[in-house]
Amino acid sequence: MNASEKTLEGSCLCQKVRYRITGKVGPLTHCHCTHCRKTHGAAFASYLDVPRENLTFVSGEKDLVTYQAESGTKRGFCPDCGAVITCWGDDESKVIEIAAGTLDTPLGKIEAHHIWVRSRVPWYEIRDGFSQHPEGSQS
Amino acid sequence: MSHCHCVNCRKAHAAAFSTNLEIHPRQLTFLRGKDSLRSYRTDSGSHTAFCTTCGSTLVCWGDGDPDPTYVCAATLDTEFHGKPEFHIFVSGRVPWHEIRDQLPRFERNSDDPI
Ligand SMILES: [Zn+2]
Ligand SMILES: [Zn+2]
Repeated sequence: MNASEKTLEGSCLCQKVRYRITGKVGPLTHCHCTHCRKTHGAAFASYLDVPRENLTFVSGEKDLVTYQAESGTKRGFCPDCGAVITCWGDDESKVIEIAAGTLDTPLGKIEAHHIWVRSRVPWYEIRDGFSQHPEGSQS
Repeated sequence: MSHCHCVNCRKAHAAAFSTNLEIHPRQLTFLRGKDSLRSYRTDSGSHTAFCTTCGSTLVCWGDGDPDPTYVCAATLDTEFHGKPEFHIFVSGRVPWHEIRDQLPRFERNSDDPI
């Protein structure tokens, strides 16, 4: 399965921020870059590509705090619970990335790949069969 | 050090799972930014603290503990070669990322085997 087409709902830990996604989404990108690792406080982040027009915030959109990393990448997180919901590079881009860990609707199995594997933590090995890229997905 | 797949960790970190390094509160000193931390308590009594500037979740602890008892290993800057010992709360695992290692798995806590 390359993409999911069912309606997906998600929220942050405290439920202040809630969103709904309709239509095609994917693929899923597991990012091992230092910024993702730090922002999420996790071995890697998992982001789902979502066309912006398919994303609706049910609540909390205005409350999201944006932090821009040195690379220029921006991420939006909930000010009350710290959960990162969104990630994007270019404000004009038609696609935004949604942190898959915040989904409430089970996503099921979905095509994925690993990027920035060269900065992976030493304590977590990648053992799934998905492709691994040393840097971005073009590398 | 262990991987936690509970829904609270998944949501707080907005990631497939979290990896937490157990510490004694005495071992942890904040060099700076303690005032920038904000904590959130879930209904189940787990607490996480995150940076209000960038959203990084750094530490967590339970209701009974006044101070952090776990550090989120991914926030370490010093290269860390400790190894996770087990997975907990695998009942909450996401379907889109399988556990493929041979570490022990616990349905809930580590004193509560499958
Ligand atoms: Zn929240
Ligand atoms: Zn920060």
